Amino acid sequence: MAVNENADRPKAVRLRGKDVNAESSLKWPELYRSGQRQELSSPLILISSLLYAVYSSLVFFFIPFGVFHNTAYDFQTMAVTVAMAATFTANVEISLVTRYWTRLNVAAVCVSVVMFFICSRITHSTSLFKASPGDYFFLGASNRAFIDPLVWLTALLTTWTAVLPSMTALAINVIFNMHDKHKVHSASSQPVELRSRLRRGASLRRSSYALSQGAGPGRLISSGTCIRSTVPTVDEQVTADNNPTDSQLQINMKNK
Amino acid sequence: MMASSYNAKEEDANHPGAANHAGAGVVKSKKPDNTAFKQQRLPAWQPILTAGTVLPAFFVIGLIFIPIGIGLYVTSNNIKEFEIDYTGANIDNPCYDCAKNFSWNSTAQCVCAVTFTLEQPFESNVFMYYGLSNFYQNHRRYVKSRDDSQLNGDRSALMRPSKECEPYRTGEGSPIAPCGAIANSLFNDTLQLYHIDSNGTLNEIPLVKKGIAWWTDKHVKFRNPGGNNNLTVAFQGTSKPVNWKKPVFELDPEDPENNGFINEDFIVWMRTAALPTFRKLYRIIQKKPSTTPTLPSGKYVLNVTYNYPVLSFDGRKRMILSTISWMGGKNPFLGIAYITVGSICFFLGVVLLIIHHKYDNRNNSADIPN
Repeated sequence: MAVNENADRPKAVRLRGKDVNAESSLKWPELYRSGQRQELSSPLILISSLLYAVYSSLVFFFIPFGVFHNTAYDFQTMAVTVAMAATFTANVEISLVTRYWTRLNVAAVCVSVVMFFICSRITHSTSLFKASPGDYFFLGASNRAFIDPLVWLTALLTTWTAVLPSMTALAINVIFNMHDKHKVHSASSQPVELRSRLRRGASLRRSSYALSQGAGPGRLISSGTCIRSTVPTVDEQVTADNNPTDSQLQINMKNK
Repeated sequence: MMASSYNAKEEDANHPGAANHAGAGVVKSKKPDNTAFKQQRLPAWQPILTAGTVLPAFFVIGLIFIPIGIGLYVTSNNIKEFEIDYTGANIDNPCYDCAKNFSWNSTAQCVCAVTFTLEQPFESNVFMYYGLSNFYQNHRRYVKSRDDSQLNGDRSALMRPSKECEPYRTGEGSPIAPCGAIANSLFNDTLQLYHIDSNGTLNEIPLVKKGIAWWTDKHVKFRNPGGNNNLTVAFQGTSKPVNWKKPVFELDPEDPENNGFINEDFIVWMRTAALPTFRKLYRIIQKKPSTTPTLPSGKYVLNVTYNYPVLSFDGRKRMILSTISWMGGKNPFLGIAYITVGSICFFLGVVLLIIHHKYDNRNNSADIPN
């Protein structure tokens, strides 16, 4: 379950975050950084997700194992304990990732936890057992488990231990990245001018608009002007057309 | 959720209306509705995550867990428990002869007496358990080897047990009741407890055998076929499980409320344990009405009718006497685990605080105003 959750990080981030409008996208280009650097699906992220999944599986088993070892508790009570811990852990993980808490997000988390308890009570009920004894044989397990303090204490301990690495990662993230973080709440949407490294009239690069106004891109393409920035290969001199829209277009290439 | 609802809206917009034959009709706009939900303008709370809000969480949780752990550990230490192994694996164990001479065919019962001393008196209700080790009641194939319809008193399932009970489904030509491996391996040792007082006389301690099973098990899940009377007639046409010495309607002939499928020892055994080392409630020693302790300190004798062989799979059998509290029996693990996790959390909080402090200082000193 943990691997499944963490494997689709981009989807997870998308579903819990908020879309950004066009002006804000231009204003904060650092939002693209995670995609360009493949921060969300790099091998390091995948391996750490896998390790975290292994760690949480071990926690989900061994802490209830230590509690219920050499006791009179049966396997159905242990199953309910582990299920409670897993539900709480999943909801806590989701809460740690959510940044925009609308009423729907709050409702989703609350309904998830409440539905777990309701569905457990339903599937452990007498009426379903009488309808199909072979399938609903957990009769009475949640009756005793949900009022047993030992079960709750074990579930809470397991939840917190399983969530500890995520909390630590969040804390480290906050410590190291707090300075670079803009206050994203203040959205002043002013139109932003695109600034490019290339000045107008730079002789080595031409925009596609400029190309379309000229004689044709043939010479430019075969000379590799747009690709290579330093070493020219062709000894050619291409002079600009007498087109007033082009400004200072002289391409001098010399092969030394 | 928001993304999928956006897509649904798009698909709707792609289908042109059926009434637009002429082509001059209104084309549905593909733009999503201008509601707060669809335009993601819902009021939202954004948590301000700074070191000042995240780091205290570690300290708070640490400070909550450590006292809980200490409380649990102290409570667990106050619970009195006594455990004695009576498997007979070594020659110095009183039950060694019974264990060595066990055979499936013998009709004579082997009885061994184990003496022990209680250092402290046990107050209030004392619970007597039998414990088994290296017995995997949680094995998948074993757990499924039962027929809950048959145990619920269903007559058709009584005569035609489920396939899950194989190979303990039919025996001697007739269906086995109760079928399955769990029922077949029913624990059948008998334990009796005697107190040796100062005169040297043996006083039998009264053991209560009712009230040891779950209420839902005894009254809903397990039902005798055709009521609790005339069980011999009700179970006609079935045979007893292979390893049992008596058939199911002779488990407790004196008490019709405890005979057949609703026998409480049987029900307790059928509730499979979670781990290979487990204990199951055997009897309850009720507290005395006066202020005398339920089990005074002193010498005791445990008489064991040794019927259950465990040495073949290197198992062990024990008898446990225990008082209980709000957290069940003695469980030091939970207290220690809470203290450990609380301390780790607190320590992590301190380490993160140091890192934050160093990083903050380095950043502040490195800033050169332009």
